Amino acid sequence: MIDEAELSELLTAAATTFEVPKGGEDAVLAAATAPADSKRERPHWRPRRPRLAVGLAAGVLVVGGIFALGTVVGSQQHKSKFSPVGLPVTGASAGTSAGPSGASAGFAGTASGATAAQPAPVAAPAVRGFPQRRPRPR
Amino acid sequence: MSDGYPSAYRTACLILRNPADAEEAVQEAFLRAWRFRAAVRDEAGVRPWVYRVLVNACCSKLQRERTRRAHAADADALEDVPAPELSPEGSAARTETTAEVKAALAALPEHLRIPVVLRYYAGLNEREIASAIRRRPGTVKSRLHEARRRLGADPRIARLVSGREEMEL
Repeated sequence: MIDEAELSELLTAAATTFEVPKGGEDAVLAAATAPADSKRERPHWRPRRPRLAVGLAAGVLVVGGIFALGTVVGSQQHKSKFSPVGLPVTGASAGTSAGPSGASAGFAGTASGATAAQPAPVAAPAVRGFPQRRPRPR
Repeated sequence: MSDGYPSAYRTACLILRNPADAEEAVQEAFLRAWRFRAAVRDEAGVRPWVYRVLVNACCSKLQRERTRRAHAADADALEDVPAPELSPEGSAARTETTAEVKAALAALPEHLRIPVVLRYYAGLNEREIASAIRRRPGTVKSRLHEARRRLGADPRIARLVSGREEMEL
């Protein structure tokens, strides 16, 4: 392994063979003192590890999208699950939550005394009833 | 600037091995340093910051050169090492020495050549080099070690070193 001092000497000797161009400094000064352009370059933040930043951002987007999709789909299912088709609607059930409206409608009688503060009784799954027909007179 | 320009220019020459590219890189670096001089709070941080900009400019030039070579049919990897410009005294031995040093340096890969030049010619410390090339100080240390090992094993450098030792004896 080459000695550090030795290497430093060799590099210095090699570097001094490059003649510094005359007017190089003047060119830089002239360009620096020239009138500023309209499009001025601004220093912008560069992430240290751009690939990692992009990957993290993509991951956040994917997770957020899945969460949003799940929320939308879940709310739609929740709305359509207990369809009040064929079930009598009473006044007591009108004040119940919109979600299990179909379930509680069948137990309107028992839930008539329920207030908003009291938790709604757990209802059995709604059984869709068919419209009742009056028996024909004989 | 008058103090830093020659050193920065020669540093770029050792990295890029092409004086024309080096001149462009240095001008670009100094211009950027002038435009964003407000970003540097203390004077002690000016030099490493200028070298950081310079290294970025050199790396851009090297990248463009690699792309150009990839498109060109020429498979010769070594760029034409500029003929050393003789001092007024002129010395054949000195010319040979510097040519061999440049050739040995050119044989190093970029990721080793840049830290070596910054450390052993420009005089930056490991932390400043780490900031300039955007790597950890430990990485800089290992690269410097590897570069010194390779240069020590290079027959051209070994010949120079052994020749110097004989002269001293």
